Amino acid sequence: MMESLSSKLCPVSLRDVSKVYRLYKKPSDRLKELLFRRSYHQDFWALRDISLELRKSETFGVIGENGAGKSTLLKIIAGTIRPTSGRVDVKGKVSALLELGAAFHPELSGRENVFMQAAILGLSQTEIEERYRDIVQFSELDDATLERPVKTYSSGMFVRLGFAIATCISPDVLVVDEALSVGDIHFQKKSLDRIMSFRESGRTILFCSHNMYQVRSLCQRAMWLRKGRVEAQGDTEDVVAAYEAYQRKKEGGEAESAANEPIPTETKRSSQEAPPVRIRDISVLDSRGNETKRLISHDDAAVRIEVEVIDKRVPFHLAVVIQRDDGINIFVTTTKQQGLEPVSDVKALTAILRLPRLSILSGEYSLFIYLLDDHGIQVLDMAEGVCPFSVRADNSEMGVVALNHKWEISGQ
Amino acid sequence: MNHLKILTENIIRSRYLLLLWVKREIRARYAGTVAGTLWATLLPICTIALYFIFFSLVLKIKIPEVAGSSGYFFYLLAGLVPWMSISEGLGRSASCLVDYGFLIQKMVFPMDIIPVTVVIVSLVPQIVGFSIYFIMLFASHIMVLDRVVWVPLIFFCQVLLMLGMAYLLSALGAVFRDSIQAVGILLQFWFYLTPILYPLKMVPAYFRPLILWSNPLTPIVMGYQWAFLGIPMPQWMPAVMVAWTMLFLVTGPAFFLFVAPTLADQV
Repeated sequence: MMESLSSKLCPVSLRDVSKVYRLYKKPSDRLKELLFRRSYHQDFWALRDISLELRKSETFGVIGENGAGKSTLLKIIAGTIRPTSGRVDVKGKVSALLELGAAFHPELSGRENVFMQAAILGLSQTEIEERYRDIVQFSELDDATLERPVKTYSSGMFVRLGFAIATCISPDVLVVDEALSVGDIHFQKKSLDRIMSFRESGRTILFCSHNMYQVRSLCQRAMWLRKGRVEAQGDTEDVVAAYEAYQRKKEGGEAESAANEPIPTETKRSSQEAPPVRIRDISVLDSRGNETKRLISHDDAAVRIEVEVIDKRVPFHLAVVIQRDDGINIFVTTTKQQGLEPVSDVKALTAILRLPRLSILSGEYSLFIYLLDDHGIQVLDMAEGVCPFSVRADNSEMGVVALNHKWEISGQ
Repeated sequence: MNHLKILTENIIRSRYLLLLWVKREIRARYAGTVAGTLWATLLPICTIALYFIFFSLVLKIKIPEVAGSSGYFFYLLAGLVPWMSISEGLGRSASCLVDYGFLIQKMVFPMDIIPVTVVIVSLVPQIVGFSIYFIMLFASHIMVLDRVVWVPLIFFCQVLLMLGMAYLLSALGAVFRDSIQAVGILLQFWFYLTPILYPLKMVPAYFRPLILWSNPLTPIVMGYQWAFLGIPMPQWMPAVMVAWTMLFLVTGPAFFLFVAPTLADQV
């Protein structure tokens, strides 16, 4: 009774959903099966017994390796494919940010495609006419471009128009499949802002990503899919932590052989061209403020980050990750987490993260530095595995970190 | 019949999309051409002009069914104009779901409208062709006016029959790709098994029942020949026409809806 009541209120509810793909050796087996009602195929279970209830206004994350069934799950919720068994209830309008613009007709103009796509999404003619200007404005395409056939569009324009249409229908449920990596950095920001505004206005969002940082910051709950089954489901932190532990274990073998290789000292940047802000220099400082590669436990230490601002209008946050050479994150901190305002309207910036009485113990470490947008989600620039440094504990403390501690012993 | 009702409701619900889709189909086909959609009318006009020059001015074939030197020309067109649309419609409907697989897989697309679109688009040349044909008949004083009023009714029957067949063939083409190729060949045979090129009387008597009763398109074609030219047809023909139409209107949508749930995996 309670269950049926709760599922009534859920915008998306899946019960024991499975998806089996039938693999036929030859095309004729399919016809034979249809005619003779006998099995001529092998089953491939893309999803097996998935139950899921999305609460109203929540952002739910789906994580897992490639081929784990994430896309199949999203497509089932979006309605493009039907499950082989199980029940799917989706209330309200769903919009899926999957393969944006994939259904455009290359020969027709942008304008005609807008009308077509919006009609496929279920809008009436008057609704489309009402929203047409909004769609065009969001896509940032000018009127002359919209009269051209979409086959002449760049892939960025394609995706921009697709995103604008998919989100203009004000969906109750938004299905997002790594759509944050679409278009140029400016449009990425804009599309992310739109997703965030959906989130703030209480829409339900299903979010699928490989970026654990994004899943952690956006989702209240999450599901980890592995080989089509639910491996874990619940609070985001629990699920993501379990998934990360699994990945570390899986990569363990590879990591061992890689451990002897030196940690790369070169700054790795994201491949995007012309980021609005750029990391210029990173250094690790000792207690006297000198650059160093060796730190001592319980001494003061600091990380200095020099940032060059190319576009002053883009506000940003900083994040620092200290990682041990076996891939374990010892510490993660961001200016957003600390409740600081995003940095904006400066030409250049020097940020110093002070680590008084460094509590890390002996080991080899490196830094991961990120410049994030004002939501703390989109990565504007990054430097991963840089500034390797070692820490020596001058006493005989063992372990990873020195915890605040005190012994209390009372003999009887 | 229930299946037919479901499909009808779906189509009515997506009527605006259907309208856009038909426009898109017509425009996309002629996109990038100078004359554009004018080609849709040029094709039937040129075909008719060609046949007119060849059969009425050069060869002057005479047949007893229709008087005058243009007799065979008029006889031929009564069946050929609808046949061109039927064969295009059926040929394309076999592959239409596969052609639009990218849409069916990637969007929640009401695929019920795809076969309808194919049929509507294929009928455009026929409507243009029949208009010209009508004017020519009228000018030649051959037409029997009290029968011509039946043409819209036969046309209606033809559209329903084509819809039923289109649903059947499109679903078959999606689950069994070979049928797309087979339909092309089938249509070749079908053309000669339908009394379009020849009047039924020229066919040996033992062969006639095959053409009359086993070919769902014979009643349509003979219906047009009767309505436009007054060529007699067996009195059971209208009943056979309705029976074929009903048969395909029931089986087509039923098969389509039977395979529809799995189509996104298959196309």
